[in-house]
Formats: sequence, C-alpha cells, structure tokens
Amino acid sequence: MAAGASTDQNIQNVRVKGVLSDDLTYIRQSFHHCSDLVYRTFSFPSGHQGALVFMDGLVDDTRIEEVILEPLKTGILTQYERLNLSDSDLRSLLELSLNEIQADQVKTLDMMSEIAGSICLGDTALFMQGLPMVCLISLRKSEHRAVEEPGTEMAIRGPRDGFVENLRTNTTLLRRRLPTPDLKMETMQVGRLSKTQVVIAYLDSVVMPGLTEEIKKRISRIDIDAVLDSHYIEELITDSALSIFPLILNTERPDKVTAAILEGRAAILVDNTPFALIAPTVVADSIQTREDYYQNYLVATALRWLRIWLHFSALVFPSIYVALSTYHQEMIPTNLLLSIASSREEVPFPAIVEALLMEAAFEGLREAGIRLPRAVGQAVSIVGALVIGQAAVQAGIVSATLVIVVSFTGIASFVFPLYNQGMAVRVLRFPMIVMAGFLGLYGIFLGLLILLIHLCKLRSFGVPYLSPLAPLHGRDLKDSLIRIPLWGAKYRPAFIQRANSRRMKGDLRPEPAAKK
Amino acid sequence: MRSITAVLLVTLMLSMLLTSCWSEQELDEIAIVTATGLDRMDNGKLRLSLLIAIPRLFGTGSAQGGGESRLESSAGWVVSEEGDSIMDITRILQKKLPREIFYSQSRVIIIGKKLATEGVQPVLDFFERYRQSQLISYVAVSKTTALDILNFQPKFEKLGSEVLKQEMRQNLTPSVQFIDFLNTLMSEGIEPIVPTIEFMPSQYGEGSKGKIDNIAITGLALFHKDKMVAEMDEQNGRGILWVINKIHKGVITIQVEGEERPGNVSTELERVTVDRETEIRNGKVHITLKINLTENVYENTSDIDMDKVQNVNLVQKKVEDAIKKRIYDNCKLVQGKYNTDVYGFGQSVYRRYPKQWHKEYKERWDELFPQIQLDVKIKGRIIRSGLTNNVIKPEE
Repeated sequence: MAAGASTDQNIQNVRVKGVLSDDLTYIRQSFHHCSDLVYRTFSFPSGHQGALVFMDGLVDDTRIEEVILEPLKTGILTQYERLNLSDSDLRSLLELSLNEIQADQVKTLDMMSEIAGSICLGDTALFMQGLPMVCLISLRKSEHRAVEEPGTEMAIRGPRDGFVENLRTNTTLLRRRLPTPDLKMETMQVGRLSKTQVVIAYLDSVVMPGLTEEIKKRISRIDIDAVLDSHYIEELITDSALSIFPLILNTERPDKVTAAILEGRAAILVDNTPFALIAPTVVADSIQTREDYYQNYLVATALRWLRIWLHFSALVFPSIYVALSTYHQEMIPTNLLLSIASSREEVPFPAIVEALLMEAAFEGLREAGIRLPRAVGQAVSIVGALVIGQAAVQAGIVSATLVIVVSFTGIASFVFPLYNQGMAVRVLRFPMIVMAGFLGLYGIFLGLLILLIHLCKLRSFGVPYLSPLAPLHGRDLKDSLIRIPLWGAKYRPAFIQRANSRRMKGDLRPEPAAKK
Repeated sequence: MRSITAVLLVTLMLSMLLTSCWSEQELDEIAIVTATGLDRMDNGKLRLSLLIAIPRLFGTGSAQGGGESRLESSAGWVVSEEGDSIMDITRILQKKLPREIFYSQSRVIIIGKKLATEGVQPVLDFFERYRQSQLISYVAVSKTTALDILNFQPKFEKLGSEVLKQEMRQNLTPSVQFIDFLNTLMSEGIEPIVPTIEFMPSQYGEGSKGKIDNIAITGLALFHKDKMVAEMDEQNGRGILWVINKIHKGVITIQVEGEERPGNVSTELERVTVDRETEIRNGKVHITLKINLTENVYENTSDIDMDKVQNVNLVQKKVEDAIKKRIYDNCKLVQGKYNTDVYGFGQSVYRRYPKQWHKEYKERWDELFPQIQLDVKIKGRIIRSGLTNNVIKPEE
C-alpha cells in the first residue's frame, strides 16, 4: 500500500517529454514489478520509433496490429515521409488522423499520472519519439460472465436477466428498459486505488427532489483505497451508521431497479459487482417482490400478508415459546401444555438455553450450507437433520416441541425477499429470546417497543423508514400492505415524489365493450 | 446528551433484569392441576383434592402397553389433604410434592355434596382472589364426594377433567362456569344452579349392574344463596333451562295415533328463543314466556303422513303441549317444593320495576316467589322433515 502511494507521488505532475527512452523509463519506474505490463517497441522504415504500452489481458492484442500499427505505418507515416513534414506537423497530423483509428475511444494525454491510470484501466498507450504527448487508444477487452438469472432473487414469472460484474453491461440492461434521454446516468469514481466506476441512474423528470445531489454529495466524501462491492458504498453513505436494518436496498434484478427508478428513486450501480443499490428504501420494500406485479393482484396481496406474518414469526416465535413455557403456562390450552410438558420432561436445560442452543445450531447449519463447497454440501444437510432433528430429541437433549418451533422459525426466516433484511431479523431474534427468557411476554413487548422506536427514528435519504405507515399516507397504502390492480395504482408513492406523481390515466380499468 | 440517554437506558434495562426471573418456572418444575375437588369432612375440616397431570404419561405413548391395560391407564394423579382453608391445604400439599402446584390450568371445580349443602361461600374467595385461578373453570357438584370423582379412571381421555370439560361443552346439559356462578350468587332475585355429576354405567341392562365405568352429568343442583337445597334429575332440570333461555339442543318425542298404526314422532329443536315479559297486575307478578321455536322431524314410527298440513299442525300442537307440560311441571316443583328462584323471576321484576322491587318485593321475595303466575306461549314451526316424506309401509 505504501509503495503504491509513493509510486503515485513519483509520477505526479510529470509530463511527457517526447524523448522515448526517458518516457519509457518513467513508465518502467512507476510500473516497477508489474509483470503484466507489455512494452512493444517498433521502428518504422522512416526511422520513427515508438512504443506501445498496455496491460496484458485487458487489451484485445489481436487487434493492435490491425487497428494501430497498420494505419500508422501505411497511412500517417507514409504521408509524412512523402510530404517531408517537420516534427511539429507530425503532431497535428497525428491528431487529425486519430479519427481514422478504428477503436472504441481515442484520446491524447500528456500527464504521466493520467497516462498510467489509463493504462491500468485497459487503454493502450502509444509513445512516439519526438512527440510530447501520448495517444491512448481504447481497445479494451474484459473477462465477464454472461447475463444470467440472478442467484439471490429467483422468480417464477418475470424477466430472467440479472446484473453482472461488468458495469457497462448493467447500464445497458437499464437503458434497454428505458430507452429515453430522460434516463440519466451520472458517473463518479470512488477508490484511490481501485478507481471504481459508480453510476447514479435516475429519471430526470420524476426523481425525488434533491436526491441525486445528496447521493453525489455523500459519495464524493468517500475517500477509501478500494471499493470491492456496492456494500462499501452502502455502508459509507447510509443515514444511520449503526442500525442493523439496511437503509439502502440492493438487488440483482434490472427490472426491480427500473421499477424503483420509475417511482422516483435513484439507483447506484457499482463496477465489478452485480448488486445495484436503490435509495431511498422503506420497510414495506422488505415484503415486496417484483413478482408481485407479475401475477394476480389478489394472490400478490395474500402473499404479502403471508410474508408479514412470517416476518413477525421469524422475529418472535421462539421467544413466544420461551415466554409462554416459562412464565405464562396459563395461556397455553391445557392439552397443548401437557404435550409440551411431556416433551420437555427429559430435557436438562431451561427453555431459554434450549432455544438459544438450537437456534444457534440452525444458524450454523445455514451458514455452513452457504460456505461449504458444493461437493460436501450434502453432508451438512444429513448431519444437520440428525443434529437438529431426531437424534437430539431421542437423546433427550432438546424437546420435540422446540424442534418444531426452530424449524418453523427457520422456514419463516427464509421467506424474506431481501436477504440482508432477513439477516437483520434473524439476528434480532436472539436478543428477543433473551428478553423473553428473563422478562416473559413483558420482555417481548419491551423488545418490540424498542425495535419500533428504532424503526421510527430511521430515515433513508430523508424518507421515514416506516413510510407510508408512519407517517401515515393513505394513498400509498394501496401498494404497500396490499397490491391493488395495476389500473388502480395511478400515482407514484407520495413519500418519494409529490410533484410529478401521476403514472397513468384514471380510466384504464378493462371492461367488456358496451352492447350495441 | 446522547451518551447520557444511552447510559440511562442501559441502566434502566439492567435494573429490570435484576428484578426479573422471580416468577420464572420451567414446565418440568410445576405440577399442573387439571381439576380441583373440595369436600367438607365430618370433623368440619375442608378437604382439597387435586388431579395433577403427569406429563410423562402424555405424548405419543407408543412405549406404553396396549389393549385393556392401556385403556384403563390414566395420566393423572390425585393428591388430597385436609385443613382449614384452601391456601392452608395447598401449603400442606406442597410439602408432599416435588413440583410447585400450578392452578391456572384447573378447568373444573368439583364440590362435594356435603360442602354444597352446608354452603360454599367459605371456599369461593380463593378462586376469585388467587392469581393462578381461572374464572372460566366449570363448576359441578358431586353426588358423592369430590375425591371420588377425581379418582375416576376415564376411557376416552387420559384425564377425568377432560371428560368433564367435554361433557360440559356439549350444551345438552347445563354448564356453569365459575364466573357465572359468582355473578348469579351476587345478583338480586336469582339463585344459582350447578350441574351434578355422578358415576354411571356406560351400558344398560343386567350385566352392567354395579359396574361403574363412566362419569356423567345427571342433573342439576339448585342453590338458595350459597347452599344447595335440592337436586333435580336431568329431565326435570331441562325445564329450568327452558325458562332461563338456555336450551340449545334437544329432542322432543310425542305419541301420535296415526291412521292405523300409532307411534312416536321425534322432533329436533333447531332454534329456540325465549322472551320473558314481566308485569305487575293488581299487586301480583305475572310472568309470560314467549317461546319461538323451529324444529325438524327426524323420526316418525307411526303411519301419519307428514305431507298433509293438518298432520303437521297436529304434531306441532303436540310438541307445544309437551313443552308446556314440561315447563309447568317444573315450575310446580321449583315454586312449590324447593322454593328457590333459580328462574331469576326476581331479577326480571327488579329490572322492570326497580322501585317497587326495593320497596315491596325484595324483602319478602321468598314468600312471594311461589305465588308468581307463569304463562307460556309457544309459537312453533316444523320446517324440515328429513330426507323423506314417505312413511314406511310394508306391502300387504
């Protein structure tokens, strides 16, 4: 890291001299120990010498000969020779003929630091003897995977494309959905060393007022060596630095990003990661999936309520079990109580220890399932079923009832459309169990109250996290707890955008044609 | 400022943790009482019997034996002790038990006949005051002692308390929850009734003589104030239910002549509403019951043709008469013999004429109650006659 910084210092403010050997020495010095840098010197019959400097692998070297060297040799230099021009004319001629080079992008630079940066990004630098500037020809080639279905957000119905690591591919996916100049994509660069491209995408006419300025302001204050994933950005620009809840949405789905942009939100795409960020976000986003809009509205509404219920279960179900079975036995119906009591008869631990133990084991199983190589993944499920299931119960270490509770909670914690939202709830259920174990139902409600106060305090880019429930906004409830049919959702959410909020005409409800 | 708030919050939460756990009790540390029995002993002391569930005997039970032995097995354990008050006895019992006595799941309170006759007032306070007791428990009077009932080994359920609870819920017989009992006891102009339970053979006939294998609700105990004054069998007891509008289900069977073949017609009550009108005429209290009912004919052993309107009306009339007879007979018994206002006529008077009640009737109600004139007006309607209208007639 220190070496890199000093290299930066060395080549700062140094300009290209036009003496080939000196310039190349500079480059060699700054790219000391960089074995992937390729120097390719050449000399033409005319006596002109030059060098091409590029990064191996980033440049499509099959095209170098054809696109750069060939035109130089046959075109420009032959002309120069024939007309017998001076060195100063060479420069203007070269500039003129840059257009003839069939590359994506061609530019000239004379600052050594900028040239080095450009080489690292995959440009090919053309040094010419006697020319105090460098031509940078973009013949980039990058290794990236094809667009495929996102692994974290599956859908039965709906587009199957997902973002990839390549930023340009990702912006294309958005542009194809919204082919309008209204879709703006502002680029910023973050990371001293990584120089990661960050694109802020939004619709100019509907974006929440002040949002893009705020995002740009927050991103511009980031000063970090490298950005490896969009979460770096998320964590550095979030409103509440210590909260467990994600205040910026992330997604791999271009359709989700497009929908958010259409609502007046802004998306932040980061190079080298398939996860785009969406801001602002509200708590209702955690019960919605894009698929809600690709299927019948009643089904979607039912699924949303199911998700709400399961969210809540994932948070408090084990703690309710602990509270009821250690403090409030009178609240359990007699027969159920007796069944629970009979299953707990042999168990040596108090309910709270039992619950924490099994929940932790379950989380461990989940984590192991993610981290393990696929080849041994099956072993985890077999061992896990034994540990959490039959054997533990038969050995009398845990009660059968608790196994049911843990399994149900496990299922409930997997319905979260957002993985990181799910993680927040998954983690929070442990303090809830502790609260329930020490204070009973009172503890659960105390915990829920603290959580509610915390949620009320949260803001995502100035938007209250509990919108549109608190502050209540009636019109927006139509698309938060329920999903009304598309022809009824005439407006954009008011907590994001009030001015240009109409999405469609009012009379779009399909009806059979009137009888004649 | 923020850090001060945080420190305060943490201190507050920690201090709450210090006070906590005081009522924490694991499921394997409590003795779950499923039924409570109370008896008055001959020496004047109180006997408390508890039916405690043994969780070990619940669950899938695959490890237990099979056949008859399993049928006879009970998952309950009865403990009892005598003393001066319920709390006092609980303390004594607690000394004998390894687990803490837990009353909250006690769904049935059984009162022995002797205690009921001598007055239940001394035992009521515990159930109203103690935090583990449940006002929704059912109350029943045992014809023998409460301990006998608790000792019963049931067939269907694993606990006797479950049997009683399910029988109470069937609505065929009256069921009284503790809170109803207390309300009635503490209201003016109405006296409590409580179902009585006793052992019964499940089969009828010679072979079952003396074989006791079932407990059932067999009648009603009529109270005056907190003392049980009379018992009524179930048939008569249902007369009371008609008057107090607690009839939910029932079958009424009448005899008809038929055209050639006499027989029985059974109708099932479908919907019954009873409105009570109270009037004071010439200083005398008149009560009118207006009963509206719909019924279905579900059995007809005569050859009467239910297709014909006059036959339907005939059956209808007979049903009404049968009900009227039942109510009047019952009334004669309650007013004449037992003289306790389980109908709540006094309460009706109090509601309609509150001033007169306090001035004239309240004090002398026990004298006045037998003189009340009761009229019954029934409007019945047979609405269904089952799957067929035909009468089964063998070919001659």
